[in-house]
Amino acid sequence: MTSNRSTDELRRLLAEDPAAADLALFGRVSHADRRGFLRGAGLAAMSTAVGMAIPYHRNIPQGFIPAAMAQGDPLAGKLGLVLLSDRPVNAETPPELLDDDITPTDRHFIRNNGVPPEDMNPETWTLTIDGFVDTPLELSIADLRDQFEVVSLALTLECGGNGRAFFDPPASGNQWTWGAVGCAEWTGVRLREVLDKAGVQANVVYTGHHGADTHLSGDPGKEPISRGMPIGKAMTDNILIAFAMNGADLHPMNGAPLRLVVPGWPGSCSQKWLTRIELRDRVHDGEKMGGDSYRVPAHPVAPGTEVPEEEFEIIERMPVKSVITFPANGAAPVTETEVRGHAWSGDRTIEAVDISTDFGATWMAAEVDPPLNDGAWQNWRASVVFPMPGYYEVWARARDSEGVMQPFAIDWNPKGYLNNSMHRVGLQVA
Amino acid sequence: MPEFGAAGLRAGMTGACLAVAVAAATAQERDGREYGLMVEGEGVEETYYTCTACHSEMIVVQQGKTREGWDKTLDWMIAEQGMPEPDPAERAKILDYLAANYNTDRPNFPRR
Repeated sequence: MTSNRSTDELRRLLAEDPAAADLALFGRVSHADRRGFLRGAGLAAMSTAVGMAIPYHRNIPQGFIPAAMAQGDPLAGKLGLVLLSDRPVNAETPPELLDDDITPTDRHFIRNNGVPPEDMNPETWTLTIDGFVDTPLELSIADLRDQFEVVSLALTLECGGNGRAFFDPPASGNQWTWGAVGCAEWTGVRLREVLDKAGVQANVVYTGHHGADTHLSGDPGKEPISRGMPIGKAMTDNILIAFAMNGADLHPMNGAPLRLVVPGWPGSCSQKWLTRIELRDRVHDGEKMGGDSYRVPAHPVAPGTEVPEEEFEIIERMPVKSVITFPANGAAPVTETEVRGHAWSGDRTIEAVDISTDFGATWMAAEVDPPLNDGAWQNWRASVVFPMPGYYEVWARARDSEGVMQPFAIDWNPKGYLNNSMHRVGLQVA
Repeated sequence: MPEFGAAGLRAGMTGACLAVAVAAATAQERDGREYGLMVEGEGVEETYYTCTACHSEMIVVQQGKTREGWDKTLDWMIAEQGMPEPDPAERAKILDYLAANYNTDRPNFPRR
C-alpha cells in the first residue's frame, strides 16, 4: 500500500524506473505518451491516496508523485514533537519527552530554514572542501568512511533561539520554548581530519558551510542558510561530518544524508544536507551570518531596545543551561519522587546542578554524571521529598566549569537568542 | 484539582504570566479553515495569500510585532528574501491586519 511508504522511498522507486514503480505502487499503466492511466489502471489507487477524484488525470505523467502525497507529514518519523511551522518545517520536543540519556531520532527537534532537497541519496552525495586549502577535495560518503576514522559521539545540539517564546517584548522568529535541544549519538568523521587532509592554509580564519536545501522563495540563486565558524573552533576534535544518527541513516529532516554536527554552538553552525565547506581568509558572509541573525548586542540592553547593526556580534558558544525531563510539568507525584534531566554548557562541562522545591529559597545538589564524551550533555538526578501534599515547583540551576550559573531572568536581545534562564515544573503533590 | 497547563506553569522564569504555551497547531485545527491558523478579520485574505506564497502562516501567527515592526519585516523580506513588492494599498491593508491581530500583546498567540 502506498500509504505505508515514505515519500523518500516513493521518490527512489519512481526515479529508478518510473513505469515499473507506477505499476508496483499504484497498479498504474500509462498511455503510449507516458501520461494518464491506460484503461484507468491505477487511477483508483492514486485517487484513494490523495483522498479524492483527480479530474485531469489524463495529463498526469508517468512516475509522478501527487503533491498531496509528496508534501506528506512534516513530522513523519517523529514522535510527540510540537510543530511550530510546516514551511519551513520547525518542530520542538516537549521537555518530558527529552527524558532519554541519548535523544532518540524520533524525539530530536527539527529546525529548517528552507526547503529540504528532494535528492538525499547517500550513494551519489558529494562533499566539496575548497577555498584556501592546498588540495581541494571532493568526497563521497563512501570516501569519508574509507579515508578517515569513523567515530560515534553523543553531541548536544541546541537552536540559538531555544527559549525565544519567553521574550517580552516578543522577539521575531520561531517561538521555541524549551525543546529545541537534543543529544543524539552521531556517527561520522572528524571535520578536523578532513580539513587536515585538504591542507588548511595559513591565512584561513573562518569556515563557510553550504547545503543542498533551497530557498523558500524558490529563487535558485539564494541559499536559505550558510553559516560558518572560526577555524580554531572547526579544528576541535568533537566536530563531526555525520552520516548516521543513533546507529541509522540520518532522518531526512535532520539533514540526510550528510551534515555537520558542531556541539555547544548554535545549531545553525551544523549545516544540514551538507555539500560544501569553504575555508576563508575572512569571516563568512553567507545567508544568516549578518544583520541580527545569530548575533546579539555586544553589551546588555534593556528589553525592547533598538540596537544599531554595528553593535551586534556573532554568537559563538551556547550558555550554561539545564532542562527538567521528569516529572513533567503538571504531574501529580507522591511526596517522594526522583527529579531528573540534562545540563550542558557550550565548550565547557557542568560542575553542579542544584534543585529548589521552595521557589528558590533553599537549594539541594543533584547527582551529576560526567558527559559520555566531550560535547555531550550531562544527565542529573535528585531524590526529592515534599513535606506535605500541595503545589510545588521544581527549579533546576546548572553551574558550569567556569563557575557560571543559569540566571533567573532573561538577558533580552532583539532576536531572542541565548535564553538560558532556569527551567521549572509545577507539581500537584498528592 | 486545580487546572494545570495554565499560564505560569508553562512560562519561563521571566514573563511568567505571559502564558505563551506553544504554537501547537495541528493539522486538525487548520482543517476547514480558509486561512489556516490566521484569525478572521479585515485584510486576512490579502495577508494570507501574500505570506503563504513563500512560507507557512504558522510562522506569522507566532509573532508579536508593532505595525512598525511588521513594516520592517516586510522591508526585509522584499529586500533580501525575494518577496514581490505589494502595491501600497495592499501593503497598508496587510499591515493593518497584522498590527491589529499579531501585535506585541499577542492577542492571538496560538493556544495561549
